Amino acid sequence: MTKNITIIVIAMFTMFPLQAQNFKFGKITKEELKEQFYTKDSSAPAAYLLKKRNSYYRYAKGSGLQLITEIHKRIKIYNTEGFDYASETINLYENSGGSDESATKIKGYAYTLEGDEIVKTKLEKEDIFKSKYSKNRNQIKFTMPNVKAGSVVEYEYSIISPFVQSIDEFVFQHSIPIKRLEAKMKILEYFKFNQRQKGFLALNPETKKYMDTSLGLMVSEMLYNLNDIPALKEEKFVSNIKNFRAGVKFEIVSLEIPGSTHKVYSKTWDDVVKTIYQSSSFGDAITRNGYFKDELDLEIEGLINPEEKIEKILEFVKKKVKWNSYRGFGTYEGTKKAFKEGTGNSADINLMLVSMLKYAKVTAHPVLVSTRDHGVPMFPTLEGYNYVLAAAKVGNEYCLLDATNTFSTIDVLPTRALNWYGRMVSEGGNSEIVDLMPKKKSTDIVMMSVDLNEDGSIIAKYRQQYNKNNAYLFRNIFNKGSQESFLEELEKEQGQIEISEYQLKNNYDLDKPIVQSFQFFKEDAFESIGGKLYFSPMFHLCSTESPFKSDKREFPVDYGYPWEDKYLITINLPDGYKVESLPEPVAMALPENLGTFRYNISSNPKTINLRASISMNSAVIPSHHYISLKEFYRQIVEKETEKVVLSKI
Amino acid sequence: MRFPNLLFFLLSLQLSFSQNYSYQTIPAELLKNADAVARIDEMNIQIDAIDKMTYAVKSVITVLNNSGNRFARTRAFYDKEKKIKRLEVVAYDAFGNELERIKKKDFNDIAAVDGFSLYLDDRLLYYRYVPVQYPYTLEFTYEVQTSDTGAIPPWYFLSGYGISVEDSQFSITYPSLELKPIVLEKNLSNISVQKKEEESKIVYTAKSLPALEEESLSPPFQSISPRLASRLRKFNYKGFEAEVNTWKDMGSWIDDKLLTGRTELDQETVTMAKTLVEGVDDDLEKAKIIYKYVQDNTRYISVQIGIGGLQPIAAIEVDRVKYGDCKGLSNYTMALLKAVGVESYYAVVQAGNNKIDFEEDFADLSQGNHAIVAIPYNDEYHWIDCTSQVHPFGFIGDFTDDRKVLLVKPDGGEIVTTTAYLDEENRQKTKSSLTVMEDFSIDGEVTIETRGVQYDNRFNLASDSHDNIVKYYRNFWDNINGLEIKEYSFNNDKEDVVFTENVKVSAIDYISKNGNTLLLTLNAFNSNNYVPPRYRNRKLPFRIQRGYLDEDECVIKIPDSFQVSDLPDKILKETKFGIYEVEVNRKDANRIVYKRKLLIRQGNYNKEDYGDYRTFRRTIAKYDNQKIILLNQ
Repeated sequence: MTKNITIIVIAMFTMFPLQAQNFKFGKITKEELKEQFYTKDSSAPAAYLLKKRNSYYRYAKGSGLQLITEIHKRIKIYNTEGFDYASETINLYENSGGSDESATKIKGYAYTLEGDEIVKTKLEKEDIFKSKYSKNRNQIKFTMPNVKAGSVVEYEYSIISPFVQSIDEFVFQHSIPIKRLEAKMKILEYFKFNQRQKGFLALNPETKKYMDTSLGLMVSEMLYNLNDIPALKEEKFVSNIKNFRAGVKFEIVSLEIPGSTHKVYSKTWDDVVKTIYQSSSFGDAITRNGYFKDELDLEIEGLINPEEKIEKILEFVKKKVKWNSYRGFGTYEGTKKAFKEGTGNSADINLMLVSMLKYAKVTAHPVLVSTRDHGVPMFPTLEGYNYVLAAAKVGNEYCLLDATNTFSTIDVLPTRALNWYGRMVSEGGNSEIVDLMPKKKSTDIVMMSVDLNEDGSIIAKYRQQYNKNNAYLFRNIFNKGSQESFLEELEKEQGQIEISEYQLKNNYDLDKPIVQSFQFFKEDAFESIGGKLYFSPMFHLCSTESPFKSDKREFPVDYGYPWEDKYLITINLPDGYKVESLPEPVAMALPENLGTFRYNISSNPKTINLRASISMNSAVIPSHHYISLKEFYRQIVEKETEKVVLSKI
Repeated sequence: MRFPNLLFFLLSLQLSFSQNYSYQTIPAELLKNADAVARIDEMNIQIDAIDKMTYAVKSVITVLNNSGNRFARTRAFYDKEKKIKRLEVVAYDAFGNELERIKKKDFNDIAAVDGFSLYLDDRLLYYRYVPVQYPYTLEFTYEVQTSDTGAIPPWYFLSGYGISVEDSQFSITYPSLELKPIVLEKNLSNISVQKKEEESKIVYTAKSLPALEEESLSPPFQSISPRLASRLRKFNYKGFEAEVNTWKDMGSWIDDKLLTGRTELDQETVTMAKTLVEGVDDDLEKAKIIYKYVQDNTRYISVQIGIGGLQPIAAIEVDRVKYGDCKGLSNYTMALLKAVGVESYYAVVQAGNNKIDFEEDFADLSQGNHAIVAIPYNDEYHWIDCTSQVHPFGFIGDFTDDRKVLLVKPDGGEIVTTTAYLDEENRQKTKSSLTVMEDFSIDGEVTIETRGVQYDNRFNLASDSHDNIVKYYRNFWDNINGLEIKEYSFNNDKEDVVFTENVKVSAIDYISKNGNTLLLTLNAFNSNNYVPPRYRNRKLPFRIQRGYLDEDECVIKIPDSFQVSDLPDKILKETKFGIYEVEVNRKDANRIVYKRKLLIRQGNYNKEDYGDYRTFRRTIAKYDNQKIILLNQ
């Protein structure tokens, strides 16, 4: 026995050096070329065999301090679906001052196995395309030559950047797996910096400080060595997949060269906020009021109660200035100009709102926000936020305001702003955390009364009420185009009903819920089998399939806000029919009271009455409850599609 | 001399004051179904020489709501041959008061991006106007000068669904008869258009065109919308001059100027190609080998520079990098075919799911967006798309099928129709068994065989990932709640172009229990719920672009403890749109056989038929959902 084990151990050890890859540029092995699929995830169309990045500083005569980033990638293309990964885009920034980033030493080869021979094809200079993409952005693009299913491509290049304080995020996870990742960041002792990790992987960097002899300076070095990083896959109801992507960000806090330079970029949240606060595009914007005084005085004349003032001022700003769809926490045009011209970015608009509220003696502060597509702010950095809201005090509580959308109201914010936490900035640049996720449920209540016709069609009276974020979304959709096109969509969405007598209440009365009511006719709404009538008491409103089709899930399900859908349905029994059977009432709940489903049905000789509701008590359902959620939806589908049976009297 | 000038100045001053862009003056019939109204839509083209053309555009759009913003895009493209001389936007409020004036320097200058090219050298100037209210009006004027007289902009009297037009004008001024344009008029019969021909000028005007509403199944906008296309017999394009009267001439020009010399290969590659086909005599067999080589060794990458929009990259270049766009890969394939002595022709096609034909009597450069290759063999053409690494030889699917294309032959061009996949050829045959368990769950085994366009829709499954395959089936059989995919396997027969799927599934609670009755839906594996939307007043004709045939047979096994009540009668519906047939028979005590056939015929139908077609689809949807009662003994 012992003998056998030794043999196995030896075999394993000797196999290792054979299998191990050589990560030196150009050292492609036949094993890599022969590999048919990625062993840990056979569905991967391509994989990084190596993704390597090395960022460091150097001092160049004439140019000063530069940030150098060396990239080396080796990618295996398993099949034709993986061809996209044989192309690379390098974005290079230049600022108006004339300093710009450049890419050098671009070198690449594609490798294929022909018979038993490794064939190597060079990326030629003429196949590298440079373009001026826009005012501040240059682009270099190339795709590797001679790539086929099974190829390995390898390339490297360096980016030289004069923007020493902005270090691009180290991205450790992609839509394809990474077999081997090596990343190194070397920062000079002159710099103070922060680093923050994200994603689900344990990164465990190796950190050391030592004297760099070529620079004659102390440096801090962070080294990441990771193996077999799984691919990151998209799912439904994810706020922003970037939040879950493994990686690390460095931020330079300050630069201090003894005896010459002292420059603070940012340090703590307080520093970040102070920096923002002190910039003229922020701090000034919330104190200037000369430009609106006269007009605003007229608006708020005689108002005493802060709630009334808030409502009035919010409406006033929405009316005066339209959002140009640019984000930012600093003003773009300046509040005064935005007020005059009628357009501005999020800061022009919401800082103006803060300033007006202050002017009207309402306690108000800006709230820094990172929008959903911008991800969750990881750590104190100016780039962490990209948007700003207003907060106003009513009693002891703050409410949140955003005047960039016509239909946003007090505490009902555009979906883009519903992203975890914001930071409320008070006078002098102090700040505190504000939860942005709505706490109160947005409801959707349907009341419907249905008559059955002999030919299988139904006629119904329908009334639906939306409040809060549901009303916000409705108003944005309804007011996008003509009523005709809205109704056409509605008819289609509800399974080809034919709508008449459509009425809408409170479209512009934003503090009231939306109420839409109409009559409809629907063909083929129930079935007649063997003289009995069968139908779901929710008819076309029942859920017929679950939105959750994946077997497992890594990220939370993010609805944006807690919600409740309610159905109150009355079905008038046709003459000559009685109820033979009804579905059983049911009530069920998700763990930790995250959600409930109730279904109550009863009948009398004339009608069937259904009360059903689905309620999600939290905007976000953690991923460890995904299996429960999936089963919850399966049971909802099953219950809602269950049929009432009517038989002849 | 001074007075007339002043008078002219005063007159034009007068004119510019009298413009009224208030939305209140828009007639009611132009507001119907409209998200925007083109108050003035004008293009005046002036041809000065074979290599000098200027066009001035003035478009005044009143945008009524948010959806209407798509008609008020203020942008202009330019390139090496095309210069933007002037460009301005003036914004007006609802009542026609000027709000803002945007000059050329305020425009953004960016690289054009088409979403699929690695590199393009086209650029554009654009300005994104932020509406502060609705309605609002944008007056966008610009002037472009170009040497490319081979690309005269087309004219659409209606630029899309959802926009109406008050005044539309298109004019072309030309310097000599030799440079007099030929204008193709399409779909003008439904609107009133005035055409005026003066000396050296052609003018079209149209007034008060109501908005068209998009309707389900309507033919592509291009084939119903009133529009003009113009071309010169003698033109210049990216520095190449041409004289083209017919497609035959166009073919010769393309062959001479754009393709000649492009199929050269180095000797090594020629030898390699010859080795590949060694021992094969038949040209079609040789072509199959070459096509497979191209599929295995190249990929699609689009790089468009200058004349590269029309001219393929040389075969020798493609051979070096092993990638290219449709033109480059087609030309490369032709070069390899030539090397092994097989004749083939370059073909230009308007690709896409919509079948759009080349205009038979109007030879210009604007038609077509893709290149494929035709191989003549035994008096027919075998078509191949060289940008696909996966399609079988001679199978072009629904991307380039059944449409008129330009075939470029050495003796000139020719308009030819590509392979059509007709109704019964797009066949799906489903054989399945469904076993009902006592706990109301089911087990199913399904074999699906697809051909023709249905093959095209499916064969990619074989190379998809496990997760996507499971998701695909859960969506495909979304009529079954809680479906589990237990096993699957595929067979892609590229020779006969047949794709076979074998799938094993299960689902709990497939049988629905309603009181004491149990309901079993007979058609589990091919339920078709599609019913086109109803229109109170259908205005456009409709098109069933491709027909198909589905044949299903399912053996349903019921446990002994259940009893089957009466089986439904045979159903047979025959209409001009197709046939629907369902038959359910008892095989033995606990087995029933469900047979179904659905044939849909492709065709163009008038709007009056729409209601009948919808009724036909309703019938199908209804009977595809048919249930039988099981009795629990």
